[in-house]
Amino acid sequence: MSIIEVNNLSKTFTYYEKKAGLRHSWRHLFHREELERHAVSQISFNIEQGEAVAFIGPNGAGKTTTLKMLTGILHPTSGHASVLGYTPWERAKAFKRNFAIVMGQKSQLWWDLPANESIYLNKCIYDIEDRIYQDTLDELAEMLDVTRLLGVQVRRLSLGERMKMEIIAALIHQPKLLFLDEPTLGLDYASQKKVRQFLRSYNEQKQATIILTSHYMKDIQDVCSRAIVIAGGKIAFDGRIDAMKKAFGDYKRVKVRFYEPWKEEEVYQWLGAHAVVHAHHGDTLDLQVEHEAIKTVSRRLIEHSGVEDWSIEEEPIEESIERIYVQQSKERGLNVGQEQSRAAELQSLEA
Amino acid sequence: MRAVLTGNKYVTAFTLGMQSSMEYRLQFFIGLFNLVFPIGLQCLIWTAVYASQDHQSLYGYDYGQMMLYTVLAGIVAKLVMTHLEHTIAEDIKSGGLNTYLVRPVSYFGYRLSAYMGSRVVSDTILIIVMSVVIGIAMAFHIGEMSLNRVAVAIITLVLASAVQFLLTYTICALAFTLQEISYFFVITTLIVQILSGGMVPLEVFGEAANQWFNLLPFKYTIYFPVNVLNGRLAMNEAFQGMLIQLVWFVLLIGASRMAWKLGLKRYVGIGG
Repeated sequence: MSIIEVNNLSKTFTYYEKKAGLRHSWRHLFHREELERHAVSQISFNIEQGEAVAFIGPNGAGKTTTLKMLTGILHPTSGHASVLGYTPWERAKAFKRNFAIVMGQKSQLWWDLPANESIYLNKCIYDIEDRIYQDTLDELAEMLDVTRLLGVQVRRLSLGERMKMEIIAALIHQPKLLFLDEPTLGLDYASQKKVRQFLRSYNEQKQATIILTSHYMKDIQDVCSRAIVIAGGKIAFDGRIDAMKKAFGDYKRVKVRFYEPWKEEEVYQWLGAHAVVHAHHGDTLDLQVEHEAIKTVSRRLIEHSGVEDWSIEEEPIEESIERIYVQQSKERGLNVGQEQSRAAELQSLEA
Repeated sequence: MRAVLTGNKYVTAFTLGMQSSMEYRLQFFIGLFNLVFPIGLQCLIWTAVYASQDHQSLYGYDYGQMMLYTVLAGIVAKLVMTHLEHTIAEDIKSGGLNTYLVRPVSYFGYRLSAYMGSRVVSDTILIIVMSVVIGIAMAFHIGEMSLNRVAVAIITLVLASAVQFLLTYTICALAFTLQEISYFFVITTLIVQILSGGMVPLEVFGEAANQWFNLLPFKYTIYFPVNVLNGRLAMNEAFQGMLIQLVWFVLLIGASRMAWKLGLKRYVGIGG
């Protein structure tokens, strides 16, 4: 049975636009043109118990808005959603007892007190029995390697340590459904790795459903098996992570080293439409080649006397996803830069 | 009973609020200085005014009563004014409210408990200071103080604090609609303090203005408890006032619930 069912869910925000300059600021004081932005538009999907799903998309794509609607923080403009059998934005107490959300940019910890005080507060909020609380706390702290830091004031902890404490506070009631909004944001590599390992094992051991947003592909690949790509408020892809590459165009990366430096136009003359130059530094060349063209390109490389060495690699998944962002933005008549600055502008307007 | 209390989420929020308030000792002592400074200044001004007047009394207060009112109003203002508006408005504006909306806890109950906890130490000191002032006033027969009055005044103070908290909480719901509310608070805090009688006795504003003040909740937060305490109000007036405080309390509970319900529907929950 699906524990999350989403049907045609939409969220529209209103905002005001103001042109630069004092004159426009003055006009803005008296007259504001109200504009609408469709942050999420008619998305539908189901998530089963025990799945680990990643929400992927550029800034302002609608990932966090979707997460906020599914956790009941936001009311949608239209559409339906059922999470654990509840309508999230009705904010039923029984619903809140069964999930948790970790927000990378929002803390639930008391800044001036040790983290164990905030975690204890959650014990009281979720009505957890003493023994179960102690066992869960010990287990989580050990898994995340922060047992000795539980008694340290939150403001004296590093960002990574604080995030681990946030995770413990969120999981102390052992929720079966866990939402994470950019949990590794700003963490160093070792902390990111620890958090990823922890989430993977929490998902496997407890059969917990995990929904994660992140801009780090490593988070997504290590923790999740399914991805929902959101771009421009719509679902651009929903499926297994390993199927994502095919869906976004199956490309290989061919790295070539020549005996002597080459000019880019000479490469195009030589390889024709079979490859696109991704990077070019003197005697090295980084080519993007479609899967079907790989044989032709390989043959030409073997035959060419100027080639010293070459290798074929899988295209990094980030680049496949980037392509879909660009594609979506073009469809909407914008380039990625404009789209991102627009999203940033909207964020500041909303703030 | 103790076992029930120790596991209660609101009791825990209360103790965390208390612990947290003790972290900043310097802030607390600066707060005390903040109390002494304006009261001292006002006392100096009133001393000068009374010295330049031939009359023994101004607005119905003789010099001793005016000093007593100024000192008590300053302390009561510190006791009842919450200064919570920036915290709550920030929660709404920057999305901090998100972390409460997703947990099975009432934001109102949580904020109230944590706030009450955070006030324990400072209010204890304020109450000691107030007791000393009352003791001095009794010893020098300024005003008509008695222990009975003090007991009634304590109840009016509790009600005043409740009304003030609800007023703040209701006004804070404006943060759901207004983009930038902190400037608004600078004005409202000042206006509320003046209309509450926290600066000068309300008689200063004249009969006509006082007719209007009777219709507003503000005078019941500072002016009224102070006048119950210093004996300017007869006991029956004190009980009448308490009844009005209760009416405001109930009205504001309704108003705050409605404002927050509407606000939460509009809420955009900024940030990740």
